[in-house]
Amino acid sequence: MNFDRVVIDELTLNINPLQTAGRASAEVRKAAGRYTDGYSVCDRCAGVLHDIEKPDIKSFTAELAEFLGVDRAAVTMGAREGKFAVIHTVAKPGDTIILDGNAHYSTMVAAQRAGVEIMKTHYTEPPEFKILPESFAEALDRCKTETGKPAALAVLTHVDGSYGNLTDAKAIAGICHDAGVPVLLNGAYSAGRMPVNARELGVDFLVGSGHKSFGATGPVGVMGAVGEWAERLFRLSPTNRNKNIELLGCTARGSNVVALMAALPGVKKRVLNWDNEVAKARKFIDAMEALGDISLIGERPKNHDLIRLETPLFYRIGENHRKRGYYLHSELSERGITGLIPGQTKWFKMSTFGFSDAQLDYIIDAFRDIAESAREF
Amino acid sequence: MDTCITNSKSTPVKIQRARSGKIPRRRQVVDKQVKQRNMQRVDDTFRVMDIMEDVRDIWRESAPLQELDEQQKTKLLKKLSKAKKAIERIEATL
Repeated sequence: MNFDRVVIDELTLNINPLQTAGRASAEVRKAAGRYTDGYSVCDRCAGVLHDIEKPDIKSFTAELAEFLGVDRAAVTMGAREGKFAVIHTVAKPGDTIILDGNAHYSTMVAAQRAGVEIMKTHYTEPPEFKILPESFAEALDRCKTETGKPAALAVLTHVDGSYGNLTDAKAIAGICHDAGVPVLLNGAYSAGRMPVNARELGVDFLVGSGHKSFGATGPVGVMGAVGEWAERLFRLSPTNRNKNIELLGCTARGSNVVALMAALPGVKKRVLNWDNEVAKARKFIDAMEALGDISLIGERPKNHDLIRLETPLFYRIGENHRKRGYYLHSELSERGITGLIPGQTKWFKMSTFGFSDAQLDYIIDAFRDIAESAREF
Repeated sequence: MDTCITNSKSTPVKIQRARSGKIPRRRQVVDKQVKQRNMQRVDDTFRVMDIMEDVRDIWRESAPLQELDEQQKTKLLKKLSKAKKAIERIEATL
């Protein structure tokens, strides 16, 4: 069997937004490489993953809680597992929870697995598709009117994966709390990339993705809760008194948790560089729009590295090209850039996260070159 | 007749004489020098792997053209030299 990857980050610039903030550093790969044997973190385990001191998962968990601004944190297998754990803790089957209109499908299946009903907020008109705080107020009211009960929970996607829109978590949390509804913030695309502090934002729960936004080997995620909710989320089994119910006892227990541990120091530094990441995204958008017939979909000004562009320019070129819509992916590949979906030219999503200024300029030049040479053709 | 010896953690361990009744069965322990050699081999193996991860980062930072500036070249050559030395040390133990 051949395990070579299709995309090799040593050879190409991978602009897929799923990948850019998940690239593991050398330090992370070195640490993870020492724990590739099955239960290798459990050599000195006394029964609780988060209490293991060799490797020091115990201290790491405390450090993670401080970093996320929660009273208690835990490592999970990913953001979706965290969402399920929170929903399962807070809502009973048959309850209704509010999701923002840009919620990821994994939020919906987490809710469905927990047996709860879903009600979504509205978003603004195209091309921005923004989730405004007032949309939560409306959805909370709608829930009460239609079901006769308040929502059990509000789940807010901090930054969505379709448009890269950054929501006003603080304002939305305030609205939900005024209605007596706890808030779970899905930070899969924010925590680890940008500063995110649950306490400062006023949310009750926070989940994040280690493999998407902490540069860690997956599957791995983070989950935390504030105040009394922490006690409920991390409740113990009545039969196995040191085992967390929602964590099914233990979660990530191999190279993935070690990778997350090794990633945290770098993540703490990189979130301080967030303004620069946003500036790079805006620079890229300006350069692309200057080509003509390309426009940003999502909020403006841009506040995140995930960029969705509508690109009729590339679509038109593809109509007359011998490779049809596949030409764009092919042309980029020839220039050492990858990450777009082959065949996609009407619109695409990409990310500028983590690239050096020189690499970003190279990407901009590549798109410009493709657009201009095709115009001549 | 029983013979009492201690293991590495100084816990008394009872062993019985071999069936012949003369030669006591010896605990199998790793000789100190062998242990040191093995540790050195494994340390060097990890050292090489770690260095190669640093090399991967140099490729990633300079992708896709990998046109290295003088600083990157010096760094890379230093890394490769260290890796070579570690590999030579492993070979020398064979």
